[in-house]
Amino acid sequence: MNCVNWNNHEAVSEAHSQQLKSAFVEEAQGKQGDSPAATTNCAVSVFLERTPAQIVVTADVENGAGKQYMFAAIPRAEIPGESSTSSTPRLEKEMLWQQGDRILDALFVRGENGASDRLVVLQKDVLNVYEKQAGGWKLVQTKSLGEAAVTQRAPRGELSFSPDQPERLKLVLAGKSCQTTVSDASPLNCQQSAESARAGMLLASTCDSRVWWLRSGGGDATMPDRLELLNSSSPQAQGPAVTELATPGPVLSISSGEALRGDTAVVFNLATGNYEVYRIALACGQ
Amino acid sequence: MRSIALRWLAVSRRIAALLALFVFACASFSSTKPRYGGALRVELLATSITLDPRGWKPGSRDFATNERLAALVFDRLISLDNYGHFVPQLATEWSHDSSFRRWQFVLRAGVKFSDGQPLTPADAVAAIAPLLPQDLKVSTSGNSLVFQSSEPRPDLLELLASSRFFIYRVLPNGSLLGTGAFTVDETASSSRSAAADSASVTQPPVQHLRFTANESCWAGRPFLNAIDVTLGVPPLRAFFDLQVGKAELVELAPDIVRRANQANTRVWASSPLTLYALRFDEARPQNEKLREALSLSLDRATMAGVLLQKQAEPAAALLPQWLSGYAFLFHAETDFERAKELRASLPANVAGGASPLHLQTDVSGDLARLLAERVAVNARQTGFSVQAPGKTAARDANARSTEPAELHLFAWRIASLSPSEELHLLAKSQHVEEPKENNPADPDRRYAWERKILEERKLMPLVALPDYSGLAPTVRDWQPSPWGEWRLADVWLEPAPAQKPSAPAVNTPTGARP
Repeated sequence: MNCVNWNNHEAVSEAHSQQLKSAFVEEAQGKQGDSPAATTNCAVSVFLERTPAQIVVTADVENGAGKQYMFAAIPRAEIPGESSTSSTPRLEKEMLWQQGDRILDALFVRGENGASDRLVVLQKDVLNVYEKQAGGWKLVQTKSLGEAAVTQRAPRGELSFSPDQPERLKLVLAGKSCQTTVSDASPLNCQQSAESARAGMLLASTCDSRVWWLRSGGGDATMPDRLELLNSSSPQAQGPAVTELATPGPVLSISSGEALRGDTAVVFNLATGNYEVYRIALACGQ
Repeated sequence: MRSIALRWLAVSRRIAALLALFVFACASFSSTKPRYGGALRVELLATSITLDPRGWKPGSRDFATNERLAALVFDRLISLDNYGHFVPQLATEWSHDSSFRRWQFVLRAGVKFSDGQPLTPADAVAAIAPLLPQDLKVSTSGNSLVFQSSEPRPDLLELLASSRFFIYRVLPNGSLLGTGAFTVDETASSSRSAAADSASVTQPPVQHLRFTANESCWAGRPFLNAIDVTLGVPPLRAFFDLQVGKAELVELAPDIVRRANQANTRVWASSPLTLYALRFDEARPQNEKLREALSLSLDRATMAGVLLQKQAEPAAALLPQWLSGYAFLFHAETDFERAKELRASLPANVAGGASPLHLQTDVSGDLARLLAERVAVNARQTGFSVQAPGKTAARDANARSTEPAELHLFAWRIASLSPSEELHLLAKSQHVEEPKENNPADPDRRYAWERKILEERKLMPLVALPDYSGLAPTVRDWQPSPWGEWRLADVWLEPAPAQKPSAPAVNTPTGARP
């Protein structure tokens, strides 16, 4: 069975189409072993077509009497990489840090090329940088926010990180946008800015090529919250989330320090009164 | 090896940098938060509507309009997103047995109708039972709905995620309550409470409807405060209203689409949803050769490309490719020479020879008339005489000739995401017999049945048309489905740009209004 005419009409990804083709050819060759006459039959065409809910597989087999069509329908939701239901994205959280002082935002930066993992914690008046050493976090840098310190009753602050410049950080504090480096004690360089608050953060799946939108469920500071995963194409949608993860209190911020492979969320734990930093990632499988 | 690793590192960093840019871009994107408020003005071609799904006629254009507006007020158990995932709506989870005959859907807890009363499984069963195909029965089981079928129903999710399968509660006065993102504002609608009244079709047409945001909707309050719907707006006027800012969302007729595109209007097109086709009258069976000759004479490419200005596709199948996945296996060839040969082999007294074949349009409108005229022209080219309906008869169903017609031109608007249900309803409406022992949910059997219908030329597809809409630039998060759902609960309105200062009085033309 070397002459199957395989037609994927953009029904599935090319990689998955090739996997299906290999499986098909293998199966067909197995059946040919039982039927010597079939080895001469090369006129097989397979078509993959996409409908709203299914991938329709049509096999066009030419035999002596003419053409014969055979059909199979595969739910799109069951095709890995084409959808999320078989590998339904599942949010997983791992607690990295907790403290009693208010945390405005935090960033977990995965160390590359032998470098240590790093955790940056933004408080309303200080920026702390921790490194993972001997299984624990060790404070390696403390920076005062100086005049940029936040004095509001409900302070907000955000950290932004670029993997291309792992030593640099951007801070957005009330009415100010600041730049700083994490590896030295240089002061913050701030300017007036009117950047608005982040509504969520992208989060990539390591199971497939999809990128999602992670946001908090909302609510006030007295209520347990949840992290919600939405289609990145429609983050504003009010519809139900693809999946969600309960948190022990309000989600205060979501950032990313891992080029979208993982996000960092800060949660106020209503039961303990601590501010907790979680690494949020997508898990594959059911 | 080391150089490969370094190159890989460089590539990784570059990708990471691009991703970071995306993150920053996203951060700024998030500042474009959806805005709450405003009223979306919608203009529709239909002159009347009814939101009661029990009264909708499958395949009709009105069905589609009714469904779009009903989707504002009612929810279904599940929906299908544009990525092929079934998404929980009023049902939060579902399962089926190995034979797909028994399905169970767990109802979402805490959902309330717009009057504040809780949704119960009994409500859901009462709503959906009258809508189901005969072989499907539904009952309650605790907080679940159980569907039981005599035949395997692997397509039940497609069935329930589309078409008329809404959940509602009938009030003693006959009006319907929903759990959806909007409620009908009866005080603001320009006639009696027709919008949610099943009897509305027999009453004077409703000209204006107002849907207001349901503040306690289980899925969250919609962004819009209200949706104002005006019915019975002629296509050209709707287009002009969109252009001058009197409407934000209008239905566009196919003959307006090219003009709208030339005017840089924001136009949305669905997948092909409306099939125009011919049917030989079952009471006047015609010679097989005559059917074949007429079929070979039909120039579908010209109908779609010239007559409909490329706003339609030639159709060779009853179900469109996007729904069946196998329509590409059907071919509708045009062969005038072969058609002439067949015609010549027929006796002179056959219909279409000495006496013309009467063609009746079962659907009103100029488009049907144009297609009927083109069928007559094509038939004449091969030696047939086909009498197409006059202008008045084609526009108005009441003005049709009393002469019995051998040939009918009909339109069929797809509503269900289940291809088997759609083929079943289409065949039933056109009096095509369904084979015994048929289960069209099986794709092999469905294909075989559709092929039989087409090969026997009981039905002859002509063209398939998408739905078209025109949108104002202020409409944001417009995320319709390819199969025609508008999804207005997710739409929000951007404030219109500030008006330019009015021109000085000296430039005002004489006689112009101040």
